[in-house]
Amino acid sequence: MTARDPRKAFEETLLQMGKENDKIVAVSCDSASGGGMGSFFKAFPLRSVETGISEQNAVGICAGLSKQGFIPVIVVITPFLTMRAYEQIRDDIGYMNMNVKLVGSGGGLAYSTLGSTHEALEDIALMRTIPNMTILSPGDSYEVEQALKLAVNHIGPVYIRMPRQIRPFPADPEKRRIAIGRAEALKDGGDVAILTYGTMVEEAQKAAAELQKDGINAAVIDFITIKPLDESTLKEYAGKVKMLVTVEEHSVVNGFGSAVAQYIAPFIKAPPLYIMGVQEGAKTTGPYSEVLQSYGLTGKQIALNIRDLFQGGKP
Amino acid sequence: MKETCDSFALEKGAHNIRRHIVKTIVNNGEGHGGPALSCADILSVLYLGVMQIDKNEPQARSNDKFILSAGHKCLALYGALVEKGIVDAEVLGTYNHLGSSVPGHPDASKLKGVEFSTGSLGHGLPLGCGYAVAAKMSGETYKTYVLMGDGEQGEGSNWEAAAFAAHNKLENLIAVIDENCLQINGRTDEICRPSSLEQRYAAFGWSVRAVDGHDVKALFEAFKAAPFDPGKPSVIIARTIKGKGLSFAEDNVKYHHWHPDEKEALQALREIEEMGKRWQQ
Repeated sequence: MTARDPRKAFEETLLQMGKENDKIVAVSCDSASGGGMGSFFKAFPLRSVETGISEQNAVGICAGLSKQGFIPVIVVITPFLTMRAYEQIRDDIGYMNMNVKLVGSGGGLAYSTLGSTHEALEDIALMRTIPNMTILSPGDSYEVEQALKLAVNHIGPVYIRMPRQIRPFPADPEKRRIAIGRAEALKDGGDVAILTYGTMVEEAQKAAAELQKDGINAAVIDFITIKPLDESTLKEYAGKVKMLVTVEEHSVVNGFGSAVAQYIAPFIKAPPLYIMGVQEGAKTTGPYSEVLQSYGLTGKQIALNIRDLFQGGKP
Repeated sequence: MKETCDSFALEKGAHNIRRHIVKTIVNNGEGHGGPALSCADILSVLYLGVMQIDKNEPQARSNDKFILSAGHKCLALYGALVEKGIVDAEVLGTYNHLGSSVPGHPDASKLKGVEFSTGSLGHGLPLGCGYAVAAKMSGETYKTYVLMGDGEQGEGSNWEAAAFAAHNKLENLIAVIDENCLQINGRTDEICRPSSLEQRYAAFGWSVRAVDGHDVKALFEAFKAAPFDPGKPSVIIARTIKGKGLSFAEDNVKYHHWHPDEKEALQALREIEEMGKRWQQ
């Protein structure tokens, strides 16, 4: 198994699951081909719904389909799904606890060349406040396959934050045990724990390798499930490292870092927690790797930042 | 659907729904009286004459579906569910109480017979499209009814759904618009009504019929005739009077959300009881 285009992995997995489960329905807002549903639409036209560019309507349709026992999977570019249709997601999917799988195509800075309207730096913040919502954020093609399978087999609303760029596997897929609500330590370490997810796992691993050169032993934990948060893994690392760092391709406001802070805050003996991500309001466009760099989110920059914090003892 | 219209039963049902609305507001101090009173006849016709609903299994997937998109009209829905025998009348005594199953907007998690929790406008038609598509996918014959307000037509999501329903030929979807011509801030034609609802829905590819929304026979015949054209979703524009049944509240924007004082409460109860004599023989 080799790492490949995550959208291709999504498309093939959805098609395969569609063959095995005739309750799965694909819903597109003019996003079937761009969102990796083209093969499903071709194979199962009677279980495919094209709404046109109308996200609020599409989310409502998903709720109605779900109420009648179908399992709608809707894929739309992230802001248009999670923000345009936010109230429909809250009222008709979340509060109603509908079995709908919401897939945000291109989480974080994935559409870095397309401008601020297409970037999704607030989606985790929005989705994690919705009752009953499970949030999965895969980073590579294997995690995408697993996330889609887990989501469809889970009863209840799930938000999947899809990556767009091809990334190497952070670990041998055969050794991974991905499950909803379970974080995985990809590297152990006693000095610092880098808590991260999805698209930042690779950069966190690079950062840990850099830190090793300075004698700082950093653990890297992949929180593919952002909600429900794996509190036992958090507790374990809060008890054994000197510093916690969250790294995410998301606003530092109300994202995964805030979720971790909310859990850690009451522990008197917890180590300091630093939240790294995109500062509120920061906006720039350009090639993905350069935009990441402009926000200080490359492995090397993360390592420098952590080293300064760790050696200085404070930010 | 019943074959012939039992106007006496449907009018009596509408009156009973109005009685539930008025008594509930008087007993609990406040509520969306005007909007609920305006659609009481529509709900009586739907629940007591048109929709196929197993009252012992109101959530059964084969039942006809009703979505109250204009959730603030919920007192009419609660009254209809009581009249249908799905909900006990006693529950209305808890209206707006802590943890009540009949809050100020309907909550599907709390009350059987409520399909979706509604309140924010413009959600119902997309949900109805979902039900209608689901029926087509599974080959089921239930129909989906969505009740909206006319002020609610300002929400863009309705027009997304209207386009979708027509494009996808959802003839199993029937929308009803309770056109009472009033919204919170005044008359709809003074706030934002660029063209008639008939024109707008027809332009979106729907079959449209306008009827007197307080004439149970006209409503029944319209529902019975739907779909009006093969391959098209149908919309019934029900011309109504907001606050219908209470002389002082009719067509008066003040009674959108009604806080009756003692004098009004007594008058309202007197008028409702007086009207009820018609069905007591």
